[in-house]
Formats: sequence, C-alpha cells, structure tokens
Amino acid sequence: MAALGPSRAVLASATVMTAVSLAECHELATLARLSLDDAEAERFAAQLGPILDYLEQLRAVDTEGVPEHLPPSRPGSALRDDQPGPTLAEPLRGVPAVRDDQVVVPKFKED
Amino acid sequence: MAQRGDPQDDAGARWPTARAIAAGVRDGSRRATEVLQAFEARADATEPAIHAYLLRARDQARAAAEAIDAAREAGRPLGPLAGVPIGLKDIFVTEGIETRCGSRILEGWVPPYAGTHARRLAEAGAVITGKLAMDEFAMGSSSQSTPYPAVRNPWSPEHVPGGSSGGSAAAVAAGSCAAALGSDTGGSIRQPASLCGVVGLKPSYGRVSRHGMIAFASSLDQAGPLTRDVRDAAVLLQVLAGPDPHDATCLDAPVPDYLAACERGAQGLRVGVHRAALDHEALEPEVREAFERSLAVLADAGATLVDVELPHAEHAVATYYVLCTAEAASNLARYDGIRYGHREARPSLRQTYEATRERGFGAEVKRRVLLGTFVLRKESYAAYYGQAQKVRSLIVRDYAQAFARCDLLASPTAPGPAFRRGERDEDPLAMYLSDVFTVGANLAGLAAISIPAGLSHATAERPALPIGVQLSAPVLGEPTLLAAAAAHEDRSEHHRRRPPTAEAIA
Repeated sequence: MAALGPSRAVLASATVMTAVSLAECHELATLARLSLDDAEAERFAAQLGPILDYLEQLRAVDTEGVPEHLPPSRPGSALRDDQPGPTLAEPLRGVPAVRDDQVVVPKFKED
Repeated sequence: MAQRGDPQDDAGARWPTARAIAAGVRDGSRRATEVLQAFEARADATEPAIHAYLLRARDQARAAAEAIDAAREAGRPLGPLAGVPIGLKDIFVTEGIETRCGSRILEGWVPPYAGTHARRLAEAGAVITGKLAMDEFAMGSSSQSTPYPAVRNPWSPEHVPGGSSGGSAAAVAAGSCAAALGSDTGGSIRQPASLCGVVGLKPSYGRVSRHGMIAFASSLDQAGPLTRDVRDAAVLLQVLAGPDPHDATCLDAPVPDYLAACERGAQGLRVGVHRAALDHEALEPEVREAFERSLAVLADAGATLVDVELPHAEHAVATYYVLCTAEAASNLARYDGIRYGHREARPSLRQTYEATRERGFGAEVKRRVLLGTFVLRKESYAAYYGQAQKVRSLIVRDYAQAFARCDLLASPTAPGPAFRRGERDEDPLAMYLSDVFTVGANLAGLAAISIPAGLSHATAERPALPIGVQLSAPVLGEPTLLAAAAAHEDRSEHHRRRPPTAEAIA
C-alpha cells in the first residue's frame, strides 16, 4: 500500500464495492433539495460509488476513546459590543423579490 | 524588452513587488493612477488568453487610485499598500461589486457591505482591480469547474492553473495585478500558487477573519495572499491578520511584525520531513527532485533536517472529503432562491428551492452536496462524519507530536506540475487525490506556504511548468514560516522566472 492511502489499483481490486443506486441518489437529492434528472442521477450514482469506496478506509482506523472534537487551542470571547448595523433597506437590496420591505416567498402551505 | 506602460520597478526591472509600488506611491515617485493604468494595460493584453478575471472593476479601481493620489497631494499619510493593484477571488464580498463565488446561483448579487478583507485592504491603500475567477464555490483543484470561462495557466494555456484560487494565481503570474487574495479550504491557495510559480500563503485557522468570505467548509476555510515573493505575502498578511468582532472564530492574538520576521533567516530551525509521504505513487520524480533541492537550500541556510512520522497522514484526504462535503452541504443550504442572487420562480416553495438549486449549481457542487448529505444522514453519520471527526483529532495529535521535534514541516505542495485541461473532469476522485500534501494543514489549522521551487523539464508532451514546495508551521507559527520561506527565496531565483505566455503578450 502506498504511504498516503490506498492506491486506485488497490481500490479497483477490492471485493467490497459501495454501490449507490439510482433510487438512493434521488433520495439524497430530495434531502438536499436538488431535483436531478435521470441522466444526472445516473452519472452521480456511478461517480459516488468509487468515492465512497475510497472513504471506506476510515472505518479501519482505531478511534477507540478518541473524541470527535478537541478543545479549541485558544479560547476567546465571542461577544462583541452592540452597534447599529445596516438599515433594513441595504440587505434587502440583494433579495430577488421584495414587496413592502418584505421578502416575497412562494406559497409554502398546502390548501 | 519592457514596453512603455509596462509595470516597472525603480531598478527598471519589470514586475515590481507590492512593496516597491507602495514605496514609490508614498514617496511620490509613482502615481497610483499610472500604476493602475500599467496593470490595466497588461490585463487587457493577457486576459483574452488567460481569463483570470471574472469581473474587472475598472470604475471603482480608477476612483480608488485617484483618491490615493489626492491623499498624497494633500499630505495625508498613506497605508502600507498605497496604490497597489490587488485582485480578489470572487469568494470575497465586495460592496457595490457583483459577487458570485463563481456560481450562477449568486449571479446578479451586489453585496450591500464589504467583507473584512476588502475593507482592510482598501484602508491600507490597495486598489481593488476586480474579482478573480475560481472553481464554483471554491470546490475544485483546476479552476475549470465553472459556468464561466475557465482560467488558463500563463505558463501553458493548455494546462490548468490549479484551483480553486486559479484566477488569483494566474493573475499574479501573468502580471495583471500586483498581488491577489485567495481562500484555502484544502489547498486552494497553495496548489494554484505551486502550479503557476507564485507564492501562496495559507495563514493559521483564525489568523485572518472569515467575515465576508463566502463559506464552503467553515472549520477549514482561511483567506490568504498570493504574491510574487515571500515578503509581499508578509506585507499583505500584516494588513489582513488580527481579531475581528464580526468573526467569533478569528483568533484574539497579537499580530507580530511579519516583514521583520522575513529577515530572521533559517539558522537553527529544525525542518521536519515525513519521508514515507514521498513514496506516494502519484508524486512525479521531478517534483521529488525539486523538493530535495529545496531541502538542501534550507540546510545551506542553516536549518537542520529531521525525520518525523505522521502516522495518520495516509487518511487525511478521506477525512477531508467527508468533513468538507458535510460542511458544504450544510453551508450551501442557504442558497434557496429566496434571499440572494438568482431565483427560479415556481408555484410552491419546495419547487422554487429545487429548481433554483438545480439550475444554479454546477456538477461538482451538486456532487459534493450529495456526498455531504450522504455522510450526514442518520444511517451513515457515525461511520462517516463521526469517524472522520475522530480521525481528524488523531491527525491534530500527530502534528502536535511532530512539532515537538521540529519547528516546520516541509513537503511538496502538489504531486505534479499543472495537468492538462479536461484531463480529470470526469474523474473526481483523481482530482481529490491530488490534494494529498495540502489538506493536513487545513485539518489541523496550521499555517502553510507554497513557494516556487523550480521548473519541470520541457518535453514533447508539455512545456516547462512550475513546481512548488510547501512549508507548514504550528498554529500562529507564521513568523517562523516566513523566516524559512524568505531564506529559501534569498538563495534561489525561482520566484523571478516569468511565464513565456506573459512574456510573449508583453
């Protein structure tokens, strides 16, 4: 094995391959609020498999007793003084649809 | 031959440093407006071939340069970057100048505020020349993943400039700005700097504010300069570094004199090398040779070389791609067509979200959002995201142990010089694996720099292309990093080499 992670040759010969089905790809897209057409979903499903195979290597690392988060090296105060910021009109300038100083949104509740 | 109007420094050499420009503007030997004109003329000449700029802010730049000249005439004090033309990667929020982060989804967004970077640079007297091209949302290593014209490498237009700050590296290499700002989440400043033959500095996590730098992976993102030489990088860092009330993760630590640190030399510094990493199959022999020569240069400058172990380094790329995609999926949820940029109007809210994101995001962004959604969903969270976080902890500990034995770490920046355009477009994993030497610094929050280390030999397949070497230091170790990088630069001519394309255009 190469010094920095399994090589592609090793990956190709691995017996366990992570398959991502078309249905699974569509399910992920739904969770991520992306609507993929079938051709796109097929391409992503084919590309995600080898990437997930590569990520599989992490499972083999012994992480018994290792914390998910290390304490920050330099704790500091996240507080800041209250100061007046921009007026409402300024941030609203970048919004695609505005009416009466409010963001216009499509209907989000079923009748 | 330098032509009239070509940027020149006082010694008559082309390609002045930011320091030379600012010194000239301050002492009155140059005018900011004339400096700007010279760089604009170069950009006019190079841009049709290079595409480094996504947007040139000609009117704002002219106004800024005129204000500098007026301030000088009125006898007002000028800042350390007085009159220096600087380009910003399009990831930085600029008041009144469209900011797209290289994505269709933000098309038309003109920010109502300036981020900390644009503000501090302007306060230091810099003239912002425009917004530099990038991989969409900084996701990529080639600057080809974009709906806009792809950036070309000034050393060879058929090769990529690296990424994601490819426009920043290409603009500095081509001489269409004096210095540039980039962002680095997994190597996006250092790798393009390496591929374009310029200096790229990724400060420690939190050394520079992230306020007004559009988020990709918030625990890894950091802003930094791309420059012609190490001392210019020090000058820009001096302006950018320091606490910021708008970013709670910005370190509340004193800012030392970085330019003075460049004069400390490398005498007595212990430079650690993780030898096992050099056996990586993708590492090209020429890159390894250039790296060994750089080690000899550092030794000649008085540094001591020591071998170190980084036992979990082999898992850094996998750890990085789990964490950065998870954070990206979360950060990019805000682009829903409601609050910024582009909206695909549809009858329902859900349809509006889906249609806006479907049309607004490119393939690599969608791929990473899907991957991030996969690793974060309940069924896979523990095995992927949770496990990657734990491996990250191990990697942080590895670095702490290594830095007990050395002051700096040295490695190649990228496994090879620039690759051909289109070569890795359909093979995302191959693109990811090329980040092998750079992601560790982001995972551990280290300071790291890529400096020019020579050129590859020209062959029938490719012309001579730049090679970079990377130095890394512990968190807030920028002074040591700059000292060693400047000592290396003082003993080599690599940073003076100019791309043939730019020479031909000039």
